[in-house]
Amino acid sequence: MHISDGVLSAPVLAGGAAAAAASLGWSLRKLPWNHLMEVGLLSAAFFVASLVHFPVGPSSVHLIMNGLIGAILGWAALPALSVALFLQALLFQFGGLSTLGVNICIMALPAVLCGRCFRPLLLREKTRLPGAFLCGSLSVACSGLLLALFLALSGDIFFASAGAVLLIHIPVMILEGVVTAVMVRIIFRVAPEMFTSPAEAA
Amino acid sequence: MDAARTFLRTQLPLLAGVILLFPLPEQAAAHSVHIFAWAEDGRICSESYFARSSRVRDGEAVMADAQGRVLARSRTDEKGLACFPLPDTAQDLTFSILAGQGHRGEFALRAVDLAAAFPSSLSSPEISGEEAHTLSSGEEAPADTTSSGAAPKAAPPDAGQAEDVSGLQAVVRRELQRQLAPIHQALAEIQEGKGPGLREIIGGIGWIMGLAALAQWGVSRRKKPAENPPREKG
Repeated sequence: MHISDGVLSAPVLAGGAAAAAASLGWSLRKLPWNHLMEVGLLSAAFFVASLVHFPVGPSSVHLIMNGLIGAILGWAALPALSVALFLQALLFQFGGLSTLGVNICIMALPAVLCGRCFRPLLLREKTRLPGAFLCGSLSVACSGLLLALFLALSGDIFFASAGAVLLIHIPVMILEGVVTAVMVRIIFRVAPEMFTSPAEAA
Repeated sequence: MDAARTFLRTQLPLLAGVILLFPLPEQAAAHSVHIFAWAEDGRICSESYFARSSRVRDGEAVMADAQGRVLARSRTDEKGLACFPLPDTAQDLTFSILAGQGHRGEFALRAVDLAAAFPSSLSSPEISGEEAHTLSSGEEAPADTTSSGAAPKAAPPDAGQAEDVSGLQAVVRRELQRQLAPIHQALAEIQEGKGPGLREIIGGIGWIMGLAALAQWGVSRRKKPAENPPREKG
């Protein structure tokens, strides 16, 4: 899911960086200043989740966990994922520094979008687990579509890339949905206020 | 005490999550794609992988010169291997692998590492200077001393002897190249790196938590005077 250096054209890189900077600026205004440690912990969770990978077909995929982070943090997921993506590029060479903006758009925007959409479902007990499953899996699907869109803007054929990306991420979508549902369940049992406070503050 | 309990209560699930997700170091090379290349048996081979256990299959490997001109393209096999014919001269080369979905890795092979693979490497500009001189003088010197010690440069070696020497050199070079190929491969692998290790993972988590703590500290410092106004004396 991380786009490397040298794959995208310069205008696409510039567009991605501008979009990421604008959304990051907006999200900083909504940062829950009293819950920064939660933001940091979730950022760390995202940072290591990308290291858990498994081979699918000819390629290799990994956990993303952006749905869970978006659901907990709301807009604050943007800075959390941005810091983690920056460090992943720097320390692991996952993606490149020139594609950081694009990668932020791919992973963080669906996190915020799905988090905000599915939040009401998570707060109700009856719809919590299906809501969490959908939040986890659809945020991966949205990320895949954005990835295909960025590749298409740089010359790939959109439908071919989107099809390939979505196909390869079907196991990830299922796994992410399950992991998100389990995590949401645990958090609501152990510390429900942790789930509600940062995003409400945002 | 209450604050510590609340902190533990709220942060424990997340900490548990981070620890559960914590991967073993050998798992940790998911999405940086690596490629490295080495010369063997009159060709250049490359190997591409996501992680040690996950090779890039059917990826597009590209060989380009220092100016970025594409010299050859190939597709990786089941083991992530893709081979290319030798270019016309020993030159700096760049190999890149396109593994789909925006994954791309790059590796630079220097002309010096490549020169030995060329049959005409002794006369090629990269090593035709001192190395070639030392090699030829080193080989010819004993022959001179045994045959005619008084006039070493008077009689040039005859054509048959020169052919024998160059034939022998070619055989030695080929054999050396064959035997050195695994060493070149191992060196290239070391140079390319093995992906993130425990140091990078723990370092990254430390950076993130450190930044969050720093920001939280800044916020709490800024808020303190407003929340806890200094008591008036008297």
